[in-house]
Amino acid sequence: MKKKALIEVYRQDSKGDEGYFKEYPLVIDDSMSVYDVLWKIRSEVDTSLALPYFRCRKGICASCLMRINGVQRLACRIPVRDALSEDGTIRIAPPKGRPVLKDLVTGWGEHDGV
Amino acid sequence: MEYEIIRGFDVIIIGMGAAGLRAAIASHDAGARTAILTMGDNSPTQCGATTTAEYSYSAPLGIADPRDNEDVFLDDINKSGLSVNNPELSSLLAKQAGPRLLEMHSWGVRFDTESDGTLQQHWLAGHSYPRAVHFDYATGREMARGLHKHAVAKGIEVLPYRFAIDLIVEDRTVSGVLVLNIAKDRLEVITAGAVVLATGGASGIWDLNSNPPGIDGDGMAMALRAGVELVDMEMQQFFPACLVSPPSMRGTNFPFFSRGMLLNSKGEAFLENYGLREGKDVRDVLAIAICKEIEAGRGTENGGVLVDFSQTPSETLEELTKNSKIRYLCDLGFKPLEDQMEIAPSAHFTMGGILIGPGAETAVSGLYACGEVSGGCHGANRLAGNALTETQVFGNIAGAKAAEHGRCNPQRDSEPCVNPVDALIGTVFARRGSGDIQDAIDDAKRVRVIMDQNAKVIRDEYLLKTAGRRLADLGRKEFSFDVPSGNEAFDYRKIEALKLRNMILVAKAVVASALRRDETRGAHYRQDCPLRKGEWDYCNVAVKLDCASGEVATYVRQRGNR
Repeated sequence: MKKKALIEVYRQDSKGDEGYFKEYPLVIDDSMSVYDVLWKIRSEVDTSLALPYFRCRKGICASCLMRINGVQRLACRIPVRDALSEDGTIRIAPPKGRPVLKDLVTGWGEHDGV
Repeated sequence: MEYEIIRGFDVIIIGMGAAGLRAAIASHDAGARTAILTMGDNSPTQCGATTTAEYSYSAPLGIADPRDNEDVFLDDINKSGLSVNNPELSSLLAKQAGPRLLEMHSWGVRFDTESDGTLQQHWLAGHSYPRAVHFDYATGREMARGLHKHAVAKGIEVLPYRFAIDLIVEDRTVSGVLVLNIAKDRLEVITAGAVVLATGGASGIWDLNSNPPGIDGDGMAMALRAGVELVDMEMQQFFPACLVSPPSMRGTNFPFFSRGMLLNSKGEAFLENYGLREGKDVRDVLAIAICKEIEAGRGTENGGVLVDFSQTPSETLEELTKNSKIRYLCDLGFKPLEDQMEIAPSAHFTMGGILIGPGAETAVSGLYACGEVSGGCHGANRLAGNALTETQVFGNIAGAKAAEHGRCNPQRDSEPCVNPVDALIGTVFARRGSGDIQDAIDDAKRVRVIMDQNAKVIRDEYLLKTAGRRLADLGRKEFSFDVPSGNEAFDYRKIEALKLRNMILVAKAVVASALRRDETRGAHYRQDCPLRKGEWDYCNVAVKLDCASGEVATYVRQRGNR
């Protein structure tokens, strides 16, 4: 089902910078996964959004581990309809404990070479 | 031109899937200073197609059936390869499959075991005996985890966020790699005494494919440009069943089709009409039958057929509900066992690839290739489970041989020749063309559509020539990419754009090879030449790049064992 949603995406220019949330108001199919929504934003709305390049598309690689409305989840494993809060927003931030390299691209702390 | 030079390695491995990791371990163990380049991060979660490999590693351990051994395994590989496979490479695959698996297991890579602790082995189509060793439905992910941990513990260096643009080759000898460091948005030249290509296959040049992003034949294109030939590029495996709908799940493999019935859009079972039995046939014949049914107008609106579990015994369904991928689909709100899922064959594995010898060596001194990027050991059809096996057998060989070469190659620390590096940079960046990054990304999509429409499962001369023309048109376009300036870190769109020329080149190689082989054999089905021809027995189509014209040319290699 098509739904209006406000997607709030964490942005950070580079390692050590202050982060902020950027809002993307969209009309989207609520059966899409949250990860697909992020790719839709990057491909069609804002090409400056940095996302991890790798994605397994089957819920096993954990490259898309993110905080979705505060809860740590695999973005490819949760449909929009389950992620939407009551006011119609989804807030997407990097996972806890991982250094942000840019936007939603995170490293592992050691040997990132960044 | 501006670039940073990184020195100090005897061997550079390009690609961090199971083949690259194994090559790095073998190279390190042979005393070479070794580094792995990877597009992703330095973690086992982003190891290319390996991470997403589901079921199994084939090894004739003889645990489930003591009659199994290397000779029976080799016989199965040869039967499936239909004389296209190079017997020398297949024989290495059969002989070393077991020892490489047991080594990996001893390093901490886990596999499912029976209650008495012995490794579980299951039967898969095309194999005489049960020899599929597995870890749930995430065998590849477990291999990536264990091999990455083992490699890092040994002190092998991983250089993450690097896209290899081209090999630096002079006098048919490799001396390093030109790289885009996406984390810094800078070009780098990494010098080495030997280079191992382990970048994976080319399934990403088809639109409907089962691979994670990035598996677009980059290593094959780099090898062609370096003067190395490809073989068997017409032999592309199409996995019979990949979801085509809902849109968000498009491209997800659906291996469970063999537990249900395949139905056309009228609800009729159709495999029997093609002389096949439900659940018993290997991938090539299944993919062809499904595509013929869709071509005949009995497919769904989304271009697929249906998988129906209504006749499946309840205990089988019960078992399927525990499967991690079924659970994944359920989490997303689908009912894969109740609703009829729409599937179609998807590009899955590239049997062809870089021409290598038994030491994983190529025609360029110091350049080696292993894993899916190389061609030859599977022939016309790869048996289930043999992809992961290939990574370990040939990764091990390539790593050891590259170490031997790289350690005693005085070039490894020398200054890179400015001329070839500048020339390489000049072929890609700061050109005056009409296209920008977004145009290149759009063209990459066009390549995928061309390959799906004209060079997929069902082929003929007309379709292939049309594909060739359309690819040639795309190939003529010039782009103007700026030399990376350090201001646009983690803009992965740059990698997608840089891949375009690789994709066009490899797609041309596939189309030219498929045109050349005017017969039907294994995965290569020509509807205008639907029979196997004796004159093609023990023959391979090889592709080289004509440097003057920039076009690919094919020729037929005949092997002596008629």
